[in-house]
Amino acid sequence: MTQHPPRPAATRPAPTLRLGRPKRRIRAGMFALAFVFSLYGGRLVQLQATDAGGYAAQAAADRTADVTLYATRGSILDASGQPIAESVDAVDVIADPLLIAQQKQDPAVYASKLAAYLGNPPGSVDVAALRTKLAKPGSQYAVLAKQVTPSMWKKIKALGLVGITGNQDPKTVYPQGAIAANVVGLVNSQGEGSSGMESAYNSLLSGTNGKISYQAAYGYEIPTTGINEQTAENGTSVETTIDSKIQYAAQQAIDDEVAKTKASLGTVVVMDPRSGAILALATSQTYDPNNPGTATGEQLGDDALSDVFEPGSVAKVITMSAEIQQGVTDPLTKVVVPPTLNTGDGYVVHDDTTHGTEHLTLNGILAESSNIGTDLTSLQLSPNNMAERNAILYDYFSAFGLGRNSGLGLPGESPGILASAADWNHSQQYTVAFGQGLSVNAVQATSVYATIANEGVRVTPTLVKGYVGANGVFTAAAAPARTQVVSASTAKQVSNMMESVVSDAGTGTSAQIPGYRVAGKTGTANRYVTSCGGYCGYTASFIGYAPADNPQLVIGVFVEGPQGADHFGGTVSAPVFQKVMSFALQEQGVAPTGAKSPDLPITW
Amino acid sequence: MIEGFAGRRSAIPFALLVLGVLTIGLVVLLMLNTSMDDNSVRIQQAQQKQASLTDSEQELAQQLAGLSAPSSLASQAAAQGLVPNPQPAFLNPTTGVVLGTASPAPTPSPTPTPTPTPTPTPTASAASSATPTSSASPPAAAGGTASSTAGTSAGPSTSGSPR
Repeated sequence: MTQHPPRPAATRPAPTLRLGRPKRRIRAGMFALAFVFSLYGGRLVQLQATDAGGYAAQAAADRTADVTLYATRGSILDASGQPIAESVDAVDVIADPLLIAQQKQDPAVYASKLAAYLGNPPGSVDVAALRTKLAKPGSQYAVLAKQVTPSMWKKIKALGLVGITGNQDPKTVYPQGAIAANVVGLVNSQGEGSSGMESAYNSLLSGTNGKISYQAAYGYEIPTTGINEQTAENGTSVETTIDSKIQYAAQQAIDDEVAKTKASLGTVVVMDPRSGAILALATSQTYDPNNPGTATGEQLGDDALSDVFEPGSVAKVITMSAEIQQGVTDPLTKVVVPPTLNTGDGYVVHDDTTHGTEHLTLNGILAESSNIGTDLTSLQLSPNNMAERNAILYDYFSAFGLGRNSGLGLPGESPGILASAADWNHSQQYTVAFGQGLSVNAVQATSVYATIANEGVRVTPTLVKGYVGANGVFTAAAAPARTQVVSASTAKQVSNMMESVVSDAGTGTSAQIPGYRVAGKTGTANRYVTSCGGYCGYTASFIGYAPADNPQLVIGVFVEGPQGADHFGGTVSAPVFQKVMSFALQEQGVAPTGAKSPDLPITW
Repeated sequence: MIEGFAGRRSAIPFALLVLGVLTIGLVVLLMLNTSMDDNSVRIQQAQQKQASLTDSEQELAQQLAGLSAPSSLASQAAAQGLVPNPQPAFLNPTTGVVLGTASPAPTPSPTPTPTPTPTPTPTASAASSATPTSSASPPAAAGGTASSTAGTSAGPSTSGSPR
């Protein structure tokens, strides 16, 4: 600013000091204030009146801790109550690489710290891969490890690493290893049963998740604010009838035999004939449930139920039961068995071994497993009316449980095929009597023998003993249905004949257990193979029970497609039966009765 | 005009009383709140401890189940030179009768290898160590002579077959 010279004195007198108009100022000030306060007021009204609900709710939500209470999935237990499959707590370890980067943390340090706890066994994890995951740019969610144990997670949490969180993810463990994996089935990543019993009983096993919400400060509940809790309802455990030890022995025995004979499939069914309880259900097409990723689709099913085959000679027991029950034969009935049986229409029945004309008793026909003899005697069911004879035969096959599901209620069961009698073609009319031209699954076939063993009363096979609720209370499963298929006396006579099969004169000699009375029947069926479009191979089977005069265990052994000249039920399957039965008898504490076998005559 | 006013006592004691009651009330309230807070923290801690105990119980139970699993027992038994008994026979302790045909056990397969202690997932160790002949059976029933079973269901066993 330039300096001005002092102003010359005013020429006119200074004007009078004009006061402002206070009224106007005050008014203006008032208006300004009022405006400002009205803003405050308006905002206040907005907060307190219009938006109040929303803010209050938001505040409450901020204070409220909502925690999902996960229901523990029920276990699948063996017959002794020990878990075969069990759901346990586990935690997924999750990293937030973006947060780690923002916090200027070194992924390499993280990786080396975490590596000591991750992997199985702990410490075996690939550190470089871990570092890559932790350093992934832009990512906010990287799963470092799935389903670590809670104790391991606690150690990881104690490291205090920013950006590492845990996510509850219960896992199913198989503490006894691979026991009846195909029966038990698997649980998928959503925690739902995807096969076997896990699937069949999923709704029972899964339970209901609960929720707890409370007002919290720094993670601690604020007293007197009240808790809203819906308790989780843990799943019910299913107690099966599976005896782990017998199951294991059966699995070992069938695996050995399948490997030895290079067969395509082997199954073993162990049953208690009195209760229908399945004690073991082993199939060679199995997998390790702790590592299901390596299993093929074929292995994931349960071939003891889903695989059907033509039973062959083991079905003769049904035919003979029918004959004896109808009163047309008895074990001592004398039959002249020709070398072949020409049925007309171009179909000739042969026996397994060529022979001349034989004089066999009905007992001998079963012991030597004569197809011709079986056909000849079965014609006696209605000597002059083939249609009626077929119908009678069909009724017995059906009453023994063939052609419909076994009743176990597991997914994927195939009921097999038992065509109605009217639909049997010419050759089928003769072959059904000795077990060709129809198909069954392993459980169905074993159940037939359980029926004979149980004095003619068929008890629907069952896998479930009962249910153990979350509170530990055991509820027995409903008793399985029982039906009298043949009379006790018929069953006894058939049983006596089956002892001849296992005698030195029969086809099942290698099923003998010294000191015990064993009854059973061999089967060597022609096996239909889709890939070769016809019969090219065999199904070797043996089904039997012991002690024959007080049956407590029935075992069926089925080996499909054994390679080599040795493909007979008596040589392939009977030894497996012998092995599993000897073990099971000891395991169940079944002593020999000490009675003598009837030793019915074979020939006359 | 107001009679008896001069004779009225001083208001101070009453004020003190009110103050005292107020103070005690406040202190008690504070203590009550503190103890409730304390309890809430203790409950939380106890729950955490319970959770961790449950976890370790689960882990131990799994380990036990793994060790007592048939496969693990079989391999342990084989490691000790036990073999499955191929011929079940029973001894009736009351009559001394042998039920079944007892026979000497087969020779164990050569030099059974000791197995490592099975881990909670016993499949691996069991599979690796089971000897070929004796992998089918846990040790309970192994041994050549009759394994006696107290109170067998064999009944009177009048005609035992000691062949």
